[in-house]
Amino acid sequence: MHKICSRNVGFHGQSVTINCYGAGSVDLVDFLFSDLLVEEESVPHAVYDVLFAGSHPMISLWRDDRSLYFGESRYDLAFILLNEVTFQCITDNSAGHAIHAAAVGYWEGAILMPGESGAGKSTLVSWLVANGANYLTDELVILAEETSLLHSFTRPISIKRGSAAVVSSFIPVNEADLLTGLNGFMLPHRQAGSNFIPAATPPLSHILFPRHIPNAPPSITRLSSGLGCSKLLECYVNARNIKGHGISQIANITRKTPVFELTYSSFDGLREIFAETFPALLTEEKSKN
Amino acid sequence: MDKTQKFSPNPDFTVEKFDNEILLYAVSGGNGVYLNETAWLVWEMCGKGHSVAEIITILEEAYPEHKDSIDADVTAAIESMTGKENSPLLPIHA
Repeated sequence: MHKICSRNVGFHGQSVTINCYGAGSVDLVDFLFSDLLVEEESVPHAVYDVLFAGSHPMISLWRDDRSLYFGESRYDLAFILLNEVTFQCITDNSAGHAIHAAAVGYWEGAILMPGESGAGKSTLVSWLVANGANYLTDELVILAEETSLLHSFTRPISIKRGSAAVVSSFIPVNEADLLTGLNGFMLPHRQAGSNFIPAATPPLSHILFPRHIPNAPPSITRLSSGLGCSKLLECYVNARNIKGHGISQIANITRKTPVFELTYSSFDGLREIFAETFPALLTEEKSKN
Repeated sequence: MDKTQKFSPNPDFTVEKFDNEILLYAVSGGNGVYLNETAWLVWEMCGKGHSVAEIITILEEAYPEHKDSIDADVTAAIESMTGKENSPLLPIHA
């Protein structure tokens, strides 16, 4: 099959090459990685092939001779490919602290929102972006060791099926623009809000741990540095690559960065809570919506 | 809990100190334990070879205004730092 093109994608000095074969393959790869394209001279960690074949294409994903996906779901292939690229970008990365976290930016810097899968990061970040925050990522950041600059794995916002209705209520979703599957959809992040800034690497200004608790009233509580450090270490994904597991450096980050915990059950009342703690984060215009 | 029991700090854990709190972290197991001030005192006194009963007595004498709660606080602190595969405190067997 004829190769249409190759894309080098990644971030923070780590990359992979993705070869695209067949009509539709380039559109999918560009949908996923348009904000993660890197220079061709960077040495890729791995090479992947995305193949589309036929008019109702059967699609497949390969790494070398190993099949990672074969079927008809672009969403499922995209999900696997995103996870592969994420893994390759952090597995040997020792130049910064990789944190499993969503993040948004504004003029003061970046708010890091760490959390495990299923913690509601993507839904919360969608709401913040819809209300004026700059989208950075819903999945992964690398904090640079010396500068505390935040490097984001900027990808489409991945919404799980259970959160689809609520996200659709505050972001006008055009079905044709989504990548949809049985387990959810991926939302093109540049369409989610009007304040997207490509390749932004803002300084870390705050850390906010989201906790979704059914029926809980919205509240934001300041956490101590030690407790913040303890919680941040739970989301620290490349500790083994860093000398001393990076504990002292993570502790230093929470010593100099205000740490908060957000408890919420819905988005009712959340605007007021955010306005009190982060007055410059959300736009006035959107508050009338 | 056997109050004559002594524990020693697990050498796998490193200590990260903040103003009024401590984080213990085991590099080998990748697990962290957050300690409040009381738990930190207990950890330190275990390292000096005191039994649970001795720790309770020392703290009751030092903080008589909290005498009613010290036994329970020390017991809770010990329990939070023991009993798992890679715990911050290890029992000393006579």
